[in-house]
Amino acid sequence: MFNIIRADLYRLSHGKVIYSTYALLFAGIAMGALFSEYPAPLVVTTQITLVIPFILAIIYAVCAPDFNTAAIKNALANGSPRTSLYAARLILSFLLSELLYLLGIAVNFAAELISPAPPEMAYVGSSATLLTSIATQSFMILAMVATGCAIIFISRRGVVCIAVFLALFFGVSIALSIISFAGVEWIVSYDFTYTMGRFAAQFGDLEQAELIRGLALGAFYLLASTALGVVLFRRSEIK
Amino acid sequence: MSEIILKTTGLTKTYGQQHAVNQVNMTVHRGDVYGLVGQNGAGKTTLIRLVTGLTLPNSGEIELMGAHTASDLQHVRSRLGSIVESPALYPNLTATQNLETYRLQRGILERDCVARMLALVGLAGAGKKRFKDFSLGMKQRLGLGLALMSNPDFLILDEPINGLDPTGIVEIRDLIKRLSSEGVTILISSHILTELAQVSTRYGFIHEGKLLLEVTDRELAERCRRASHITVDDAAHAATVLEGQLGLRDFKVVSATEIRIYDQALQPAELARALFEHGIFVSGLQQLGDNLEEFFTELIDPRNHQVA
Repeated sequence: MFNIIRADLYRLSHGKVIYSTYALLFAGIAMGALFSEYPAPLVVTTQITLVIPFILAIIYAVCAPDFNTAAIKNALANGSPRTSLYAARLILSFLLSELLYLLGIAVNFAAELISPAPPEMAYVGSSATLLTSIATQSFMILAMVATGCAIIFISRRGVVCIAVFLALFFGVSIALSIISFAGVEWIVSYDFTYTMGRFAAQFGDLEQAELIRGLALGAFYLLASTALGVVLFRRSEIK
Repeated sequence: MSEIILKTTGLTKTYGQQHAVNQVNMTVHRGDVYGLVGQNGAGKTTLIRLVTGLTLPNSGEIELMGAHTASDLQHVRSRLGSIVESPALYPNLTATQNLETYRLQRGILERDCVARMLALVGLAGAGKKRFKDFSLGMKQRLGLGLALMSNPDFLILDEPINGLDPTGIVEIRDLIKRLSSEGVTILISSHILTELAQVSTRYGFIHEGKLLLEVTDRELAERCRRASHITVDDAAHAATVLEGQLGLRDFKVVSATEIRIYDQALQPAELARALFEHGIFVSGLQQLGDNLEEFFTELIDPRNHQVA
């Protein structure tokens, strides 16, 4: 598995996707922080939904090329265990996504420090609350990455992952907000975005129940999607 | 009998109602260059995909280098090198980067093996070129280089000369011969029979998912030899006449009523007339093939499926 991760890192380091994904996000965050009226912690946590497309780009860059090019045949025909392949891609996607998120936060704080216009609003939360919020969101990102990887490994097509995420995260969210159809919390997009958003909005007085609910939800998506992905990929036919 | 590298027993793969591979019993021995012959859609690639673990069989068994179980098969596949269908590499990476990615993935320690493989397949000057900019022939070469990276014991090549120019075909043929002489067992699928005929030591003929026949190159040469196959009332008597009266020595009595005459001194019509003049009634006369294509065409003729 370590060899697969090494090979993937080599492949990604010789492509443009990862660099451009990181650069675009950091540029966006920095611009936002420079001119935002909100303090950095609030910007970071409420920006979580904006990070989602970039995380999706990472999942795609790590998992999809093997299927898009059929290069996965090379590894499988030469005895690489399917579970190891899956685990390697999942772990690498986790690492790169979390790095993106945490570096995004760092960029945000850094940009605010050099901002010519300090935020008008003051940050009222504690450091502990902020860290809890970030930790919870990090965990939710893991769940999202696991779900994305599972979609690619099950469908064996990168574009399916993008289509599903766009439809669920944005399409459904937009549709829900338009029709104000409150209470349908089982939908993945609503769960992720709504829960993350709520953490952000309420991090000043984060409730224990909210935290537990979010973590449980993330754990469910992480475990269920990974289990399903591994089981189906182990039996799937590689074209 | 040499060691068996690959043996399939009753191997079957179906897609819906269609049998892509149907009850295939196939044996590849160590050192063989096994030519898997079949038309497009005959089941060659599906058979290779089953052997390489890219798809699972509906029934039947695969024994690969002594391994039977799924976990053992997976383990021994690390000793395989393969091109299945077409070379699959990352289009935006260069040839060198593609091989280096694969080297890291396989955990191959020798760093210089990338350059060595590029030189081996004639791509030493194209290492910095992106895979997407390669011609089909160059892609085939690079795919072959990738398959050879880990010094495989068993090399599986699915249509390896597709898209190669004549020079490339000769180079790949020479490479296959060289690898074979170094002890690598090779399975090559192709529908270009003339190419297979130049390298294969054993053949498997597959048609509509069924392995119709497995023969060694010597057996095949025997079968493909140009001959007049005659059916007579008394083959023993006819043999005496052929040798004693007509001076023909190169023939074989196939059965009590059949003789195969390889000696081409007489035309078939002359032969029938000469035998008739010596009191032998010739009830059938058939000219047998003289090349692999004719043999194969004959073999897949539905009327002859009972041959196997």
